[in-house]
Amino acid sequence: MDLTHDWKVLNEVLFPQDNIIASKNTMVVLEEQDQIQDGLVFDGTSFDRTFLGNADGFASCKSEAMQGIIHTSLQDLAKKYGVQSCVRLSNNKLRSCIQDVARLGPNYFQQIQKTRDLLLEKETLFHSTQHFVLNFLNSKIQKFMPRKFNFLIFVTESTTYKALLLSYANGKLDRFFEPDFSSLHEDRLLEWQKEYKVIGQYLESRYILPCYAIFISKEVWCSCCEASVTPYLKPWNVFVRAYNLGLAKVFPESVATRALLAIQRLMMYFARL
Amino acid sequence: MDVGRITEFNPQVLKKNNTFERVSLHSHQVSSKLKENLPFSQGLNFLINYWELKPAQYENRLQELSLKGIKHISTFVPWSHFETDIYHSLKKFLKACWNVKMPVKLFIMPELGVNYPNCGIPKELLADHANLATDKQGNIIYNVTAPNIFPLPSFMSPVVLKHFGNYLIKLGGLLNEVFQEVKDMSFCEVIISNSFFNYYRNFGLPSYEHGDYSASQVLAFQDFLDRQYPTLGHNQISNPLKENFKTLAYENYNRHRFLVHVEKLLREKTELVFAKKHVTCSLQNISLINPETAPEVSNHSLLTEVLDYKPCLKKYYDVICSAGTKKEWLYLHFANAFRRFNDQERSFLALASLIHAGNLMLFTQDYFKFSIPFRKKLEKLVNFFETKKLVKRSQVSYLAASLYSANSTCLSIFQKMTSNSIEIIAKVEGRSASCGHLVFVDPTSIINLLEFLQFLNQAQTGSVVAIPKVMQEIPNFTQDAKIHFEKFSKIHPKLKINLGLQYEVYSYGLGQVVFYAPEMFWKPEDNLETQSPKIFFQSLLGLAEFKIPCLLQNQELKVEVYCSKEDGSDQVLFLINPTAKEISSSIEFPQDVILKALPTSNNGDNSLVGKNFEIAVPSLGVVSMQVFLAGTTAGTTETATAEKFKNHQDEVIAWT
Repeated sequence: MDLTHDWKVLNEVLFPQDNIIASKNTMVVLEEQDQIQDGLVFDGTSFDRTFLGNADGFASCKSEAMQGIIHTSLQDLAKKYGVQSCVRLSNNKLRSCIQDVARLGPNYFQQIQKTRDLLLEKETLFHSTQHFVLNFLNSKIQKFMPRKFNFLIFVTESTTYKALLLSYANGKLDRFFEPDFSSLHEDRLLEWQKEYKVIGQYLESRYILPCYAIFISKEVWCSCCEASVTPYLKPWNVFVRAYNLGLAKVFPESVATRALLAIQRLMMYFARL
Repeated sequence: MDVGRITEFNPQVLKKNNTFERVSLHSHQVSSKLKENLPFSQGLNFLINYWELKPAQYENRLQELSLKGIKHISTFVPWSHFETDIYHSLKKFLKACWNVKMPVKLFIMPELGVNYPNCGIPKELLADHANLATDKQGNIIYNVTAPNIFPLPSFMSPVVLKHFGNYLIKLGGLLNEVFQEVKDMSFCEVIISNSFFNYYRNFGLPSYEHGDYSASQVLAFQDFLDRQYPTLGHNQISNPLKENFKTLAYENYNRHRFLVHVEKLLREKTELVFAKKHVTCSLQNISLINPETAPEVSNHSLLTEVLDYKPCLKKYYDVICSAGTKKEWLYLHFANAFRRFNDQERSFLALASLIHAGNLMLFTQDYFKFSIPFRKKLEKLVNFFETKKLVKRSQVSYLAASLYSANSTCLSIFQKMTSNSIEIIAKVEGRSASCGHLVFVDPTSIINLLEFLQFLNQAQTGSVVAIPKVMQEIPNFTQDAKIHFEKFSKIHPKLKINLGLQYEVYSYGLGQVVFYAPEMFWKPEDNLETQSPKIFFQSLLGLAEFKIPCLLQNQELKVEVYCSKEDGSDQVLFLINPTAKEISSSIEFPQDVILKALPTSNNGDNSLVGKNFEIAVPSLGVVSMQVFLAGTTAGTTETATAEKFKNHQDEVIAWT
């Protein structure tokens, strides 16, 4: 109803796959006052309890001479768990991060993003499962977008639908929630292939903000999401193919949108060559 | 009042009685009885977030769920949503429940993991530092999982309490209004949970440092100490140091007692508010925990989101096991960190929660995501437990100041020795008598006269009660309790034993009282010689005629035993494999038993007879079986069929 940061719906729509693919094969050791408190391995492997509280060789030593020992030990740990690298995180630092991000209000998405920025110095070792739609909206396309706008993702499956409205302000995802379609007849929503323009216009008048939207069947949407985590596959290519077949719609069908779709088609064509 | 009737919350009961009786205001006693007799029908609770739906959809959604076989529904009430809701959604939802004849449980206390900003805590309360809970080190305690990161409010802050009281009054008024309009209150049950008291600890702190140490509790704690240990009379002033339990040496124990006391007060006040508002529907007290937000794993849950890692199943499984020991209800939500688990892992966690804690709360959409065969098996299992009236068997009760203050060495030794057949309790009153049951009082307890008498009463009913003895160097008995102890030890004949740890055994009523020397447990735990307590604990278990359900060769497997309330020999055994590899283990029973598959297989009623078995438990799997003692009434009926199928172990059904 009045949820403006609906984490549940965000995940349900953006990540419909059951298995979220974990990031690069790394591991993290959480420590406080030279004591290891916890360890996390990228694939959920249980961290060996014998290392907990064992500061020998893993201690954060101030003297430079000892840095070598830490390095070696972390490498050993990485070897033990068969990961690319092992990174040390200070629990104190995490605690201060939590304090900082709590001030951001109820936007869990922003809180997680900021924690990532504050916490991870070696960003190359990690990558977050960014969604291709979020990546697109955070790309250089922002320069051509209004300061505030809404983006609707409307996913349908037989007689049901799931909708997520991403509300952007100053280039940041400000709110994310299930839009209020209470003044729109249910049948119009289910007839999205004919009524997508009406739905888009309705949202523009409902939230008094420009609205952009993609309408798509769940099957195609899942293949797009799958493609985004599969090497050599591009989610927008899958989307454009579905669009060409009439399985997906975009709103508004303006010149800019058509141009973007045309560019995507050209890229697909040249990639094939 | 028939407590058992309240707990059987199903439509059939409602139709027959057409009323729900109110649990008395002294619900703390009642709640412990409720927990004891908790039937499995209470186990599976289906959640719906009414605020995520349009009021016009309520009836349709409930009817849809009813057609899918859901007989009762549960919902949280987000505090700030209820206060600001201009659409009166809760009222409409309750009316919809009544219209579709769907009994509803209302979880009225704020809980972590509820999909509402700040889990429903009014944001104005979180703006003032004076209202926030802090841990022992002075750090603010945060919730770090979805729906968002926010500081936890302290229920000791007067502002929070006042605001919460207003919310309860408003809620009570609304419930009264609804009940008067529909002229029925039997369809609604109000659940009072322990709210944030499970979460008052930051990651990294040991469990004995659990609690809210915010500035607002200083006066309340002082007041509690004054009431607990009243100022000494002039004739006792001569030896004030020995009696001064308010000193730092006892701070840890007193803090935990205080935590339990505040939680109890909050529950009682909540009930009082409802009583004043004439809300006479059923009220039930429970302890509830969301494993994702438990202090032990909170940072793990956050970091899995931040780093996009897969969560470690074992960590959450440990929290579930610990909740089972504390008799807490479990609330699983597969939209947060748990969404990263695959189907098999989710099914396993749900099943493990049901088995270890005896209950499970799941969202309807999450439940319907499980495979149909799994749901069918789950239903079969629940029905079986309902008809057989099976309850979880805990032969040992560990009595500590709070659920978090148990001496970790003692607890872990007991857990190993009893194959997890142990429960932690924070009070002894209201416990039912059960012959052969062992009550072990934590060695670092301060014992007052009332408690001492309660222990003796418990022993009289047939239990073995192990109580720490009066110490010479560090006082651990109040003066009146000490006098009573001395009288008791003079009057009754005793048997003195020294097995590395000195103790005395007294026969008392139907049971026995054991006084043991607790000195070694007052030393830092690192210095504890674990060998001495081990032998002592073994002898205690022997004294209580503790029967180990079975011996497993592989320690990675977990065992859980349920037995019938009517016939203790009628047991159900679960072997749980929380690892990602198949485990084959030999299982040895103390005597000849008949094993029968559960749920019964379609290929016939096949059973196995013997004492030793070789059983393979699949990865993240559960093997469930009925166990009958060969030679008992139940056993003899099984023997005939069992003989035919001797050595055929394929019929033991595995949950994969």
